[in-house]
Order: sequence, then C-alpha cells, then structure tokens
Amino acid sequence: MKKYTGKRLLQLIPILFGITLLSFLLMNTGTADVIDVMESNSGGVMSEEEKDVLRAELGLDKPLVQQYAVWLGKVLRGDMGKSFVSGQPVFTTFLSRLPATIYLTITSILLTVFLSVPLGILSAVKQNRLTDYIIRFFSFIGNSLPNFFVSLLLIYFFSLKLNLLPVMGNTAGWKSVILPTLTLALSMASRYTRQVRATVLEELNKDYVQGARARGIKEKRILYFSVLRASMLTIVTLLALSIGSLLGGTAIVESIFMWDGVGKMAVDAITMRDYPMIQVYVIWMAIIYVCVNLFTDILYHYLDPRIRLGQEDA
Amino acid sequence: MNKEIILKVDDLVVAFHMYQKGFRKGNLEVIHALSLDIRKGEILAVVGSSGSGKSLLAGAVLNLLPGNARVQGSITYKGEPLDAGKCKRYLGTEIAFIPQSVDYLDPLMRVEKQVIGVRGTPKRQKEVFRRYQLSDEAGKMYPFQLSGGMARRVLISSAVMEHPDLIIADEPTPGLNVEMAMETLNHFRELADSGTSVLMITHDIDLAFHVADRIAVFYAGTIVETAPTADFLAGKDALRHPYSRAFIDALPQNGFMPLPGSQPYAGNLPEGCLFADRCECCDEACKGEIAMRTVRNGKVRCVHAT
Repeated sequence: MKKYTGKRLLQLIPILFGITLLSFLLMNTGTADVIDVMESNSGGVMSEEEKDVLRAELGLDKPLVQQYAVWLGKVLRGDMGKSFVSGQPVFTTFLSRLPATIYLTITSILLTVFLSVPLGILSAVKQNRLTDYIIRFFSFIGNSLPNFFVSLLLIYFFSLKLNLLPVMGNTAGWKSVILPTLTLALSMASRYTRQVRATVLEELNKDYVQGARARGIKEKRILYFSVLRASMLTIVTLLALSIGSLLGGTAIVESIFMWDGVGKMAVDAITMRDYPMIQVYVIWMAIIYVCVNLFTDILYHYLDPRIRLGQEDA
Repeated sequence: MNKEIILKVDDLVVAFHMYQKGFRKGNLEVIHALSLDIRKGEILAVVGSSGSGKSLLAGAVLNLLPGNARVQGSITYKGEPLDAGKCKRYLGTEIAFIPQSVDYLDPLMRVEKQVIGVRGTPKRQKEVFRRYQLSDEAGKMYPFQLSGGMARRVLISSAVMEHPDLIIADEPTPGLNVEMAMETLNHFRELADSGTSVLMITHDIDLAFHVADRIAVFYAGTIVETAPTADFLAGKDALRHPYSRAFIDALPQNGFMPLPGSQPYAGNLPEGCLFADRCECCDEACKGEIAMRTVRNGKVRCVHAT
C-alpha cells in the first residue's frame, strides 16, 4: 500500500512538468501581454521605452523557453515568484485565499450529501410514485438553473427582500457562508439526488437483493446494509471529483459573492495576465486532482473487498 | 404416497405487463395453468429445457417476481393460502430458496454473516458448514472468492440453517462436476428423508432420475406430465405425454434422438394443446382446451394419453 501511494505521488512530477509548461505556452499565445493590460488598467499612457524597461524587469523580453526555465528554476528552489500586479509573493497570496475556498468546499459538500443521499434513496424506494415524481421534478429544476442565476435569486430573496443574510463578502461570520453554500449545494444536490436514485435502483434490481429477500431478511435491512453500501462505492467516486473541482474554487460563485477564494483569485489573475499567479493555481489544481484520485482509490481499497483481496491474489 | 401435502399450486398463471410493440403495453403470459403438489419428505423435480420459464415458477411461489408480474391461481402452503405476508414470515425459516448462482449473495459481505442471516446462530452455521465440508476460512470469505462448488455448498448451507420444511432449489447442480452434483443431490435426499420437501427445478433429467420421487415435465410454460420417477426409468412406454416420451428418446443413452421443431415461446402460443405442432398423434380433439387428467397414478395434459 505504501509503495502504491509512493508510486502514485511520483506520477505527480511528470504531470506537474507537463501542465505548467502547457499553461505557460497557452498564456503567451494571447495578444496582449501583462504590460499592455497594466497600461489600460492604470488609465494612463506609457511610452514604449517605459514598457520595455518593465518587460526587462519582469523577464518578459526573453524567449519563452528561457522564461519557463527561469521560472522553473526558481520554483525548484522554493520561490514561486511575485505577482506582476501587486508585487506580493504569489504563494503567500495563494495561501491567504485557500482557507475561504476550503471552508466553502466543506460546507457545500456536507449540505449536498445531507440533501441528496436521503432524497435519492427515498426517490428510488418510492420509484414511480408521487414522492419520486416530486423529488425528480425539483432535482430537474435544480439541474437546469445555472449557478449564477440561483445565486442572484437567493440574494434577491434572502438579502434584499427578507434582509436576513449579507449580500456578499466573508465578514459576517457564519451568516455569510450560507448563500454561497446554498448556491453550490442546490445544483450539486440536484445532480446527486438523481445519481443516488439511479445507483440505488440499479442495486435494488440485482440478484443478491432477491437472494437476501429469499433468506427472509427485512427490506430495510437489505436497503441499509447491502444496497446502500454498494451504492456508496459509486457515489464516493463522484463526490471525490466534486470535492476536487470545489477545491479549485468556483469562479462564478466566488465572484458573485465576493468570496475571496482561489477561484476568484484565478479569474482575476487571468484577466490581468498575472502569469506567476496563474502558474500557482495550475500547480494547485494538478496536485488536487492527483491527490483526490489517489485518496478515492485508497478509500475504495477499504470499502470494496473485491479490490482489496483481488489485488493480493494477483 | 398419502403424506400431508406441503405445497400445492393450482392453475398458476404468471404474466408480465410490458411494452410489446412501440408504446403498446400488453400482458406476456409465461406460465399458464400450471398445477403441482409436493408432499412431506418428497423430492419433486421440475425438468424442462432452458427458456421455458422454470425459474419463474420458483419466483412465483416465493413472491419474488418483479413488480410488473401478475400472478393468478392459488398457491397453498400446508393448507393455507401463501400470500405476500405469509411468504415474508416463512421465507428464510420454514421455506428456503437455493438460488441459481452466487450472484444471489451480497458481494460486499462475508458469507458466514449472510448464512447466519437474521435468525441463525454462529454455532449452527459452523455445524452446517462442517456438514457440507466447508472450512471456517470459507466463512470468512467474500462470495467472489468462492469456487463454484464452494459457492453451491454455501448456498445450500444458508438454506438449511433453519431446518426448513420446504426447499425450493433453482438449478442446484450446474457448474458442479458429476461427483459434486451427485453429492449435492444426495444431500437433498437426506433432507427429504428427514421430512423436508424439496422442489428441484433443473434441466438435467439424468440427475433428477437419481433422487427425485416424482418428476414433472415442464413445456412452454406449463407442466405437461407429472409421474413417479420409476415410470421415467422404465422407459418411454410407461410415460403418458408424447413430449415426455420424446424427452426420454433424446437422452444420450437412448440414442440421442432429437425431436424436430422447437418449443413455442411465450406470447406466441398455439390454441389448444401446446405440443400439437410437434406431436404425431395430433388430431381435432387437440384443438380445444386441454385439462390435466389423472392417468395411471400420474397426471398428464393430453387427450390421447392412456
């Protein structure tokens, strides 16, 4: 197991190389470079000489490959570079944004699970009856509404009409996390409710359920001890991927609610062509996905005896 | 032969409500007018070719058919109608089911836990496992780790945990070598001799010959003849229905003579006698409704049987 984990983590190295190089190249295919963007943002006019001085300062006058090599060399020495825009070390900025994103990830995943698992099971057990239709109707709506629209609706009702919750920001304690969480969880829960329903239904139609019934085991017991356990194997994989994408920040929701997480940071960095900032984000995403997948595989190992014991035989 | 009747099935009809062509829904009748009875301590083998609906018979008795199945006719267990509620009460205690394959065990649960179920005890489980030569380690395994023969013995163990009065076994022998199959059937014989009734559904008539008291021949969704095993062993002349006779002719030891044609499938059944188009003695009398008659200590669904 240790060897396996180590091997998987070693795979991170080529992935990080590839992905940072790729993003580096892609960023430089755009027409406007960071200096041009800075100029238009400042509102003033810079002479070409001034721009060239700035470019030389940031190392942008060198060939692309050399720029990448310089950047890589610094990163290997633990220096992620400074933001072109703020001049602050990007890694520190990134770290200061991370807690907000992790906070939002945890709350929205928890809410999603609490909503979708019971509803999905209920929907499956009451298949094609009124309860099922109602749950499916709402999950359909939840699936169809885009996040930004849901967030605007929520802001309109809870903040403007009822005046219960803050419109944006992360300063009002637990109250400020409610609306962004709801926005994210409603759409995810809609998707997961359908997923849980489909998985549970699939499991319910398997032979072992008939076998258990024939052995006189109560329907509830079959559902909670056998069917649910088997269904969770599928759900866990999907949830892990969702956690991965949430940890990458949710650009739209974070922007709308002015939630200072890494998603908003990435969007800002992209509009400003803040290359070092974007690179930090790219590295973070690669690490997340490799780790989340690794974690899922390890979890599977414990949840599914077919994988755990099958491997030992092989 | 005059022991108490444990299970009696009368005029059983199983139909599936399903889409047939496009959006048109219809009923597909897969078992029709099926009757049988099993007495205490008796092994009744239901034999028939694959796809004839034998397994649905087990499903109907155990109330385990899918939601779109419609069941008519009467099923009585020890003289009382076996409805859904009673079925729930008896399943796993008085009535046990031995399914076709290891797929009927939960893949994520150790087999000993499943064999014990909700009412069994670990002590009884160890006892039964020893009885069927399963080691304690086998109990700690997951279903996917069992070999075919072990899986079969685990399934049988789980059925006999509670000393059932009726065992319904759906194809208990495939995947087993001859010795193992014989051993399994001998277990059934022992169970039957100690008072358990066994309804054994199989396509292997040879094996049925060895242990069954009576054999019921299943054809196109119904039973065409039920007769003592001795009649089948005596040869085709002792049998009543032309299909049973053809069955005997088709056995390897009797010349491997195939019967031309194939059995009609559900949804496409002829009027009157289901066997008419393959029968040499078919005439006008075969076009009507054919009732089950008692002929020479056996039951047959043929107007020409003597």
